[in-house]
Amino acid sequence: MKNLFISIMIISISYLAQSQSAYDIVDKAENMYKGRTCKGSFTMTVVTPEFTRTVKMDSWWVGNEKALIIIKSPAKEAGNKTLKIGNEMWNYLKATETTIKIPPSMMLSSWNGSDLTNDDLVRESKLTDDYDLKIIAEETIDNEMCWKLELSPKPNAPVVWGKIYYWVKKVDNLPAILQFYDEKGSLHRTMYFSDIKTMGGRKIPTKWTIVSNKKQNNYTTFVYDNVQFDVKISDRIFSFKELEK
Amino acid sequence: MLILKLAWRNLWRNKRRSILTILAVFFATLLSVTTRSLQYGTYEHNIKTAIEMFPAYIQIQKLGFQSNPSLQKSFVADSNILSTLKNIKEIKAWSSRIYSAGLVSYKENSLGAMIFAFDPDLERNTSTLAAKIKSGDFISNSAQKDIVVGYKMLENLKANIGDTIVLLSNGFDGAMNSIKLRIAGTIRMGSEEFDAMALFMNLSIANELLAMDNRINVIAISLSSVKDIPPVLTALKSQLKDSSLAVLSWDEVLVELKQSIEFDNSGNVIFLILLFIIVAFGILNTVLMSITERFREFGIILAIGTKQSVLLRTVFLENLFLTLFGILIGSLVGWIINLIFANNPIYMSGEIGQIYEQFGFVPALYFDPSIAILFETAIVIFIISLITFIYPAFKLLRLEALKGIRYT
Amino acid sequence: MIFKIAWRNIWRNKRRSIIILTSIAIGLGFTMLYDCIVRGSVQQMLDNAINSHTSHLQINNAGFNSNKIITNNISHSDSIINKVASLPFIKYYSPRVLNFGMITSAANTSGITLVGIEPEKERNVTIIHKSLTKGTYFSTNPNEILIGEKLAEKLEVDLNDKLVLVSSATDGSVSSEMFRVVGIFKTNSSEFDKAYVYVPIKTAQKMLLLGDNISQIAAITDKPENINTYKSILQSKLDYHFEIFTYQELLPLLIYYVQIANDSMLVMYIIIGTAVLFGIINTLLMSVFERVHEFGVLMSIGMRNGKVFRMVIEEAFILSFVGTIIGFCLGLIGYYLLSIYGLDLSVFSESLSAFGMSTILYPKLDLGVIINSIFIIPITAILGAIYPALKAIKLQPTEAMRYV
Repeated sequence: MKNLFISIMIISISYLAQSQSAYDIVDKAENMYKGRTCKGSFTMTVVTPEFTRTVKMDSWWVGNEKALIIIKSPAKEAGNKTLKIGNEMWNYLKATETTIKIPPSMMLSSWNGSDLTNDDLVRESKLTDDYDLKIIAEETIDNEMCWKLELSPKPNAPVVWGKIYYWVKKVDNLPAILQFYDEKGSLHRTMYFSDIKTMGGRKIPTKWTIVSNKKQNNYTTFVYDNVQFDVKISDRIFSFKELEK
Repeated sequence: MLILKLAWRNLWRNKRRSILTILAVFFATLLSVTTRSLQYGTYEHNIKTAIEMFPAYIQIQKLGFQSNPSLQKSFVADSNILSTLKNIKEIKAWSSRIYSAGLVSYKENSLGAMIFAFDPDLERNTSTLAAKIKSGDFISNSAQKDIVVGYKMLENLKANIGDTIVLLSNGFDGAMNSIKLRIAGTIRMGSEEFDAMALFMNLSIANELLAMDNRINVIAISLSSVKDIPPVLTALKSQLKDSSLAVLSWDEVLVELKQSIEFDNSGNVIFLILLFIIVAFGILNTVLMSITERFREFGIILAIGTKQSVLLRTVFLENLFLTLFGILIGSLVGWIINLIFANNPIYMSGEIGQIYEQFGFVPALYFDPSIAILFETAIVIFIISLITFIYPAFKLLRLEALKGIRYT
Repeated sequence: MIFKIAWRNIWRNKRRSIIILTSIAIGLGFTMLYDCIVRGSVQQMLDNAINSHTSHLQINNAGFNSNKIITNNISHSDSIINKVASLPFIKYYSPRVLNFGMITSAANTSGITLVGIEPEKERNVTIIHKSLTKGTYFSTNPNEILIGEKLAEKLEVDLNDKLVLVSSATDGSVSSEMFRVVGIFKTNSSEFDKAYVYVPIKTAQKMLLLGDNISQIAAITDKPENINTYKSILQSKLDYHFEIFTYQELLPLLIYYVQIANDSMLVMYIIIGTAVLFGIINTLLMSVFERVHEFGVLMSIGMRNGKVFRMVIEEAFILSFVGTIIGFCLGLIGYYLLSIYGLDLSVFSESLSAFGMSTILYPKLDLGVIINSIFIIPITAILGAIYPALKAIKLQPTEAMRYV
């Protein structure tokens, strides 16, 4: 009797321990490249069969709550800004000096032509909030040993995915690959993290590539040029007045 | 030969009888010709009105655009396309267009918009859009930043003609761009949803806004009549060298419109059949009466030794002459009537007229003056006459000489 | 007396009379049937729209119908609902939350109108619960959603699949909520099936931060013919903060179709009438000339012109009247048969569906049909008989008698 009880305790503790660590792994990985606040400049390149476009932007993030992104180049788009507060989003367009709130009908259209939608950018929730996490294997990706985690959406989470597979490198707890599957098991999107460099005092993947598995030759890359973490960012910049400067 | 002469003389012997038979066929033909003309006329007119409103007779698009419209599915109107268009003589006019979606913002309100961009001068020759203006003016090349919006959109934005709105849209390269445009007028197309989202603007401004670099989505082509569509389609398909382009006729662009017009048309066919049945009875009656009337005469002829077959052939020839003559005059008079009404459509007044206009249709009855209708109808009436001759002929064959003589 | 003679004259030449009677009967019968079918189909379109969403009356906050934004909602909904429910002519009502939004699956996105309903109340007002081709109606789960077949195809989802709904809440924020498909419906209108999705009203209220507020009350009345009276009564009971729309105001396109159908039927009757007219004129002329000898005798024994005239006219009238009766009966039989079996038009299913019509049409018999059928032909016939009758009286008795 006692043995049974202890075995059960041990099993549940180790199970808890395992879940805990799955949570920790993902949480850490997500925070790696977000930080409490984050300020940086990056270059986005969108590649489709019809065109290739390169945009340079500056961004300021406070957790996942507030963000401001300003386009620096090309000249045609320079000065355009995207402001996110909570789950609402506004675009400021320099050409006409107007600020427009993104209505739900545009939430699901692409942000600046990339493979990310406006909704992706705005999504407040974190992977750890919306999904149940489990380590299911250990695999080698690009000569690096990774945990393979399976993320299953929680019952009422407002996400369309059926499963997300997340490979996190064991050595530095940095994300390597994310795969998004629908409920029928069809792969829609893959995200790759590469070019590990030290920036802003941390080791982070400086190149993120989002590949559409449904459309041929459609992918978007984000390359960090420089970034600083946990610096003080004044709340003032997340205001409409600042937007229209 | 003798039979022919006999037949002919018989016709003149009793003018009244001949005239009445001719009249029966005449009326049948006349009624059928005018009804068919009205049906065809209305059918063609409805299609024409719908097509000329905006869709146009034929569209050239990038392959795949029809099922999945996007800015990326676009092409440049190069010299091959332009010279092909010029060389096909049935092509009356054409207009290049860009189709996209965007957001219209006025003060605190923003609404989704369907953007249609074209050169107003070219468009005026290609579609009747400019006539659908509800208030204000159409767009013009002299004021390129003018736009026309659906009247419902103006209401929803709480804006007025003359106000400036901001139009936002994602361009060909995905970059979001915006521009300030002035509302010059409103339009009413008849569909509430459309009138709440339609935005018409200048092609060159859209070209810049959407970074199209002179690419377009659609070339809309105007012809004089739907009958020109098949030859022009063939010509275009063979002369356009770019295999990534699709050439579509209006019914491939607006499948549901075609189906509903076909549906209307099927009602017409049923009606026509009904008409034919009634006039067939009219002819039958007349022919029957004129034959039975002469049974006494036939009885005598048979009694003096004429063979039945000779009698039958004579009567048949008489009938044939009368029928042909009736069809001829009927067709002629019918054609004249069609011609008159084709050039002077009967206008529907009052409430009905108003309702038609509201939905973009001209409230009138249209006739088709084409000669093909005459031939079609003539053949049908002729066949009907032949069929209706069967019963009287049957009666004739059963006639016995003595019975005929005693017939009263 | 004249009537008796006229009657007997007709039956003296049975063959001729039967032929003309047949032509009138068939012409009238078919035209009548066609009229019924056209009216039936138009009525059906109207009924389909009413039954799938519009209902007889819609009560909203003032201004909602022209600008369907979520902030334009009905507060103190309970008291308003009670006021509406208390009126005797309101048979059933259904409170709804309506908002525009986007629905997304892993494969695709689409713009839709979200309809938050109380399942049991909506059951009485619309036929959505009966239109399910797959799955079941709502149970107790707050995250259930019903979508149309066309939409399910576009989003590539089936029963039990996940969908995320994105919509603006009353405070302007964008709200997303996950739902599972519990039922797939198919109405007669493919446009409807693409655009409307149903969720439980409480979930919609929560998602859009409405509290207890609603967007609209849809109502079915007991006698829709009195709809305008009902509207005035309701309007006086609720104040000017509310707007009330009848189905006639909400479906002007369909009302237009009803009128157009009536008008084109009139043209048909005129054409058929003309055909019959010619038939009668011809037949009567033949019959008059056949009986020249007889007329001659009648007139020489003293029958006056007026009576001869009347006799011919009455012959025409009897023929047309009997023909009309027979034709009318044929039409009735046809109507009866079709109302049981319906007319199958699946060949045109796609365009019918776009118009909101089902592929099986049922005819509708109303006063208009009856009036058209019974009066048009006899009147035409009498007019047509005038010329032959005139011809009859122009004959000189002595000449007539010698006519052979």
